[in-house]
Amino acid sequence: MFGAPVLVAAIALWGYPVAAQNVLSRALQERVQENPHTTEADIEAGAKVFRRSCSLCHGADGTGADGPDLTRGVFRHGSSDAALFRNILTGIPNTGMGGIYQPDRSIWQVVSYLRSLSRAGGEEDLPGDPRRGRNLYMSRGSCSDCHRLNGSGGRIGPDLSDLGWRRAPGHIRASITDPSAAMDADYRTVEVRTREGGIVRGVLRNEDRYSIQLLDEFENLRSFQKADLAEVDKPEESLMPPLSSFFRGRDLDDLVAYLYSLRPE
Amino acid sequence: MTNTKYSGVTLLATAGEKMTHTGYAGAPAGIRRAAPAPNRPLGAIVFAAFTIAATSLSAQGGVSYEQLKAAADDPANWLMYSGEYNSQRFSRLDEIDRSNAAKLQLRWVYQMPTLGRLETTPLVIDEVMYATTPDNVVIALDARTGRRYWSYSHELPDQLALCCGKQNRGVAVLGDRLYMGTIDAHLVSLDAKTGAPIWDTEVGDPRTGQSITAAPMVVRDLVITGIGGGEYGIRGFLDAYDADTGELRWRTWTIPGPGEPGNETWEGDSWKTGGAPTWMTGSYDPELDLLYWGTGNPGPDWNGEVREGDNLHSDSVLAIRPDTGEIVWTFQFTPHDVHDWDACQVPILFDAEYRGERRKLMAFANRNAFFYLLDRETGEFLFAREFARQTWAEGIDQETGRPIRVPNMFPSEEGTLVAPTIGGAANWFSPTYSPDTGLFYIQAYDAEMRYYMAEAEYEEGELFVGGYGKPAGPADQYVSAVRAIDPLTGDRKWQYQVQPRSRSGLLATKGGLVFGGSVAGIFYALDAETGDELWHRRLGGDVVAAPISYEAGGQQHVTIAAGRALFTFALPAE
Repeated sequence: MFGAPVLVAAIALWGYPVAAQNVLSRALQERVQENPHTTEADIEAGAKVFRRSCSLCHGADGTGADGPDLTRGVFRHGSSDAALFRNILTGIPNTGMGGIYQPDRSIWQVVSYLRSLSRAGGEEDLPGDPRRGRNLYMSRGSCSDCHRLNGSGGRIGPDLSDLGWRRAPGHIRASITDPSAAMDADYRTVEVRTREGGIVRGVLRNEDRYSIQLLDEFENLRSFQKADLAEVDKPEESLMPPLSSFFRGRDLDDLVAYLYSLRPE
Repeated sequence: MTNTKYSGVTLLATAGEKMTHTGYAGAPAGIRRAAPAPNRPLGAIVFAAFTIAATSLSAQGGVSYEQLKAAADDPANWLMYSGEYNSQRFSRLDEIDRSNAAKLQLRWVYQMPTLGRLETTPLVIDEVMYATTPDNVVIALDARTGRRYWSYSHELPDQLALCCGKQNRGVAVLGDRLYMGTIDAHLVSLDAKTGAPIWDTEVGDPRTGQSITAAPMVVRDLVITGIGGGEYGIRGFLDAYDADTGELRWRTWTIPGPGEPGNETWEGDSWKTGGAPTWMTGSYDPELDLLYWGTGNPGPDWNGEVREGDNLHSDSVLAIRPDTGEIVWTFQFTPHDVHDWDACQVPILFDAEYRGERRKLMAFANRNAFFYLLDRETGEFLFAREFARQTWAEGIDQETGRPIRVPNMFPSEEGTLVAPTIGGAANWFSPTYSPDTGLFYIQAYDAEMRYYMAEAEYEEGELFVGGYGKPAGPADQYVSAVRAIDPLTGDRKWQYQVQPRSRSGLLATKGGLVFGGSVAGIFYALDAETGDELWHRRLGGDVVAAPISYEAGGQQHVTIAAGRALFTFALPAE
């Protein structure tokens, strides 16, 4: 009766008008919830998009590389058509997954392709005993000196709390026996020598022409001006030593089974 | 209420030793090691040096509660939202001073990944800066270069009920963990080294209009957070969470329930939807062990007819015992507010001789245009005086602290012209106090507005405001100014006028400066004694946040968020 409230924006916080904030999410909600593009031709078209836009991280066959294995039929960030559509379109926060900006049809076709992968692939049956693997992780490996698991352990290596979601068993196995073969892009080794002769090692966080940032082996976030450094070395060798002589045969199977089982809800 | 734990560890918090950046250049040279000899325990030989070093040196790690209490002795860091628990927002660094401020140079700019406008107060700990975006991204930067170490992005639901858009004003720290309140009313804990989430607790329900925009405050092992939603008929509260686990320790409602004293100041059931949110960060006095937190407007904002009475404890400051949540005293600035004048200002705590007696004081420049001085031990009202133009009160009763209202100043169907505006004579943006000059500095605005009343019916998750306001003229027709006020008398010492207007926070420094900004994107340094402008730069984005100061690479720096970017200034390197 007093007309529309025209000055909502000026209320308590002096902020933005209400209108603009959910444009993208509303558009998403209005989109179809079930995949309308599921023919064989769609799957084939989806495979093409996948090879172009997704395979760099997820592998040409979807079994994972830097990005997770997508052949299990279960997806950590939602397994429904709508969830897959949304995650492909907009990406997933705090992961390397960016969105791909393609017409809806192409994205649905990728969803169809992913479904076809899980029909073919599915869960891998592993030979090892995860419980025994857990004991090995906790005792013999000293893994937790460098790796974090559910909030405890070191930070100089990748956090393993959800490793099973991110990596296929073969990848986990190779990372134990030959860590330098496929290093996590976020954990590149860096070693700098200051003009005074001090040496600092760690994993690279950022770098430009003038400066370099790293997480050092004592877990300090550190930054150096290159003018203050005598040398910057980025060896293509992981800070993690190869553990093939420590974990072999059954032990290795068990450890892999344990790490692959790390899949929190 | 759910609490997702990403971790079962206890806080590594209080480990004391801080490493300097030169202190361990000769660290053990053995992390990229040769393959271990077979049949020997791996840890024993390969990791020994590393493990020992890591534990005994305890890295950059950890801001203890003792350090937070002693923030005044640690001016190189900016450890909490308002700098210190007393919220003076006073930097004790003095390299940049009156004589050289004109030489300030841009050191770096960091473009934050957001479409919103930054209101963040970054923290700086051992040359690592932690800043936030309005949509709850946290970024760790090298404070010397502005280069990024890591970022964390809180996943937000599609639907949010926010009166005023997405906002976030910063994080809190304890140990090697950060804490952030989110606009979907969660409180999250992050690993300060990596940005990895540790726990995530639901504080409120965003579908009912609850949200968090303020930086939390850490006291001992508690993370204190308020809640926003005063335009959605929420019932306000202040919460304390276990810093380690994220579990709720206590909740104190700002509106008393039935049978509690003060509930009778609400007509009928209106207390249930009465607002009184706690959407800004408060202050703390470790000696008295009291938290001080401002509360927001009663709901609905502009229609008081559905909530007759004083509406306690809206528009108030509450003194609260941090271990229990017990309310020790309260003071209400605007009883039965119908203009949306939240007491959302950050209370500034200082000690001074007042009328011949040394007292523990609180300065509070309220949105309702009056500056109040309270005794923070007892809550005793000492005096109030106008610091900006107002037309709604004859004055404040100097005995009781209650306003003496001018008749017919309530919002109406045809509109009622009242000063100050809905945005107030002041708002959430921080004031500052310099113990050197003894002056209190505030962004003040002398404008007026037409207030309209409308019907108000509560519906969950919908705006519950009962009216609106219209500007009576263009913003620059009124005076907007930084004002220096003697907090013991309310006398105005000087003002620095800002065009078209300003709503930035302020920072006073040991160098005799006051830093502030304007909506025109100008960032300036003033002489704290005289208000003379010593330096300014155009940053090309609304300055709404508050400046901070810290030391990095042996030099004093000043950082301000403007538009979507962080700007950092320092004197030319030698």
